[in-house]
Amino acid sequence: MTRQDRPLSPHLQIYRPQITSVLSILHRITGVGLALGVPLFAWWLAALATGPDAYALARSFFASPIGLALLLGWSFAFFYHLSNGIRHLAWDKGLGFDLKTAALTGWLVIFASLGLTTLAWVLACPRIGIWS
Amino acid sequence: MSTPQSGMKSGVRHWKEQRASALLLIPLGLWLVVSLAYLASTRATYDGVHAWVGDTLNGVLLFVFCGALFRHLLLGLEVVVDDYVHTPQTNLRLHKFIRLLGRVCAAVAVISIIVIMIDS
Repeated sequence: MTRQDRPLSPHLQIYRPQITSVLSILHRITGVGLALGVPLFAWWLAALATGPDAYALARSFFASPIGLALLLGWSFAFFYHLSNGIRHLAWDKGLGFDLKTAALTGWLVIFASLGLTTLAWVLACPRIGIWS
Repeated sequence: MSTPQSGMKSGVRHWKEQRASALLLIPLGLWLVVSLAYLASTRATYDGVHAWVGDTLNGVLLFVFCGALFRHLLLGLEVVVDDYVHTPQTNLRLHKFIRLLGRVCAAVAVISIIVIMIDS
């Protein structure tokens, strides 16, 4: 295949947004976003391995307003990418490919990721103290 | 497109590895997020978090999680780069950069887990 024959991604500038296309690009955006968080995850583990002082620094970063905002974004990106990823795995099996079902599961993914993000932060909140 | 692995065989392997790593990441990702929520909710101290990662089962699961995570993100980012960056030289440079950064992060994460497990 020469370069000219290769299939192209939709030209987003002239493509009317639909639930399916918006969720598709959001899968990419959340995937790249999660990948950007991985160096910080490695830093957190390295700080934990290094000692209490290094860990305190990493901890204070994640507990700061910027850190918490990033964690909120990553938690949503995680649940979105996971839910929509399951949708992709179903498509790989040939399931749910018709437009109606694809739109329905799309909305399901949106509600599931918002709901699971909320649930995770409720579980993580010391003041609510689910585990204490 | 300009990677040495391009071709039909590598396309099939790419597809399979993407799905296999995705399937591993579903349970392991959920386990990690719930565990982190638990550690945050109980205001775990340095010693508490260290002990949690140092626990044999948790350490091994984190190890597997990291393996699947770095494979998955590398495969994903490569597709994104190939879809949007069509200049061969820039494409190749980005591939190399992502692979290098991925390997460094993976090494840091895995070595840290091993060090924590030995210290525990």
